[in-house]
Amino acid sequence: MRGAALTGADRLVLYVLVGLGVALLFVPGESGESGEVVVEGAGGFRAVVPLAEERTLEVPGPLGTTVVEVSGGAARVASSPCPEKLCVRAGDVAEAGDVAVCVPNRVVVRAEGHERGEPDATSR
Amino acid sequence: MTGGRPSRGSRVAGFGLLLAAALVLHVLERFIPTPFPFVRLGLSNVATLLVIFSLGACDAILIAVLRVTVGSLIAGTFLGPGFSFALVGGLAAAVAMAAFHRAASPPLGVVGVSLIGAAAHNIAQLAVLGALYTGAAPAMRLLPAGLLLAAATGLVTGYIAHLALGRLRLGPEALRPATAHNP
Repeated sequence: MRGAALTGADRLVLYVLVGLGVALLFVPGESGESGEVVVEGAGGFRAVVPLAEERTLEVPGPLGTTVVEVSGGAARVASSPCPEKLCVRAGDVAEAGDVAVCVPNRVVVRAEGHERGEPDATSR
Repeated sequence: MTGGRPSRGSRVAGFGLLLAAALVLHVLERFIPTPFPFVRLGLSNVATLLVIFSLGACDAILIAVLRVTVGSLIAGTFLGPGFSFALVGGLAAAVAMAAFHRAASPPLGVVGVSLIGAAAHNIAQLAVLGALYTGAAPAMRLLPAGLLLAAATGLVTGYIAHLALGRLRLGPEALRPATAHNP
């Protein structure tokens, strides 16, 4: 009494679903989606750079110049005159809440904007 | 074989039977392992499909709501974090499948209606995710995955429903008094 499992219209629905799904995969994310990075230094130095930019900042401090590099959607301390280099080892600053701090040279690199908003864990 | 509408008694019996089947599938589905906790096959949508193709649209929507409510009471997830997802998803799937069954079912078969339901389910759940938890942008980024998963799960559940409809003789004709008392 029932024919084939897939009618022609069924196939059409399937193709539309798969086609729409694949097409949406290639829609680029909204521009300006990434946040910005705030760089603060001694003597009231302050710069706000969008993470989408490619830029190198030279931040003056009591020990010398800290070089902050913004590229590839993340910021990092490229070089620092401080003895411990903890700020360099802090690595990429990209998501809101990420931070790299050089205490000896009074430099703070901090990402702002777009919290990821992901839950820490789920249970069910 | 006089045909005509199924008697009230056989409708009530069919409704109870299919609600019970929906509940069993709802609870059983929790035990099927999947790569991610939020990816599921949508087995209980099989029950909604069976109701649409046997009892009709209104009963399907009613059974979907009852299934999620009673099923989550059984599973202990009633009003939990996943409850709003299950309710909105199940309801959206039932409404979309009922609408497409009514408007376009001669060309569309069981599998086509199932695909529509799976897509409606995933889109509705992403809407809940965006509205209650993450905002629109992250939910939109999950939309392609949601549609592709719907294509896969809708195909599987639709085929299961197709087989079940053929074997269970749940069609409107089975609910008529003449064949309801099969020896």
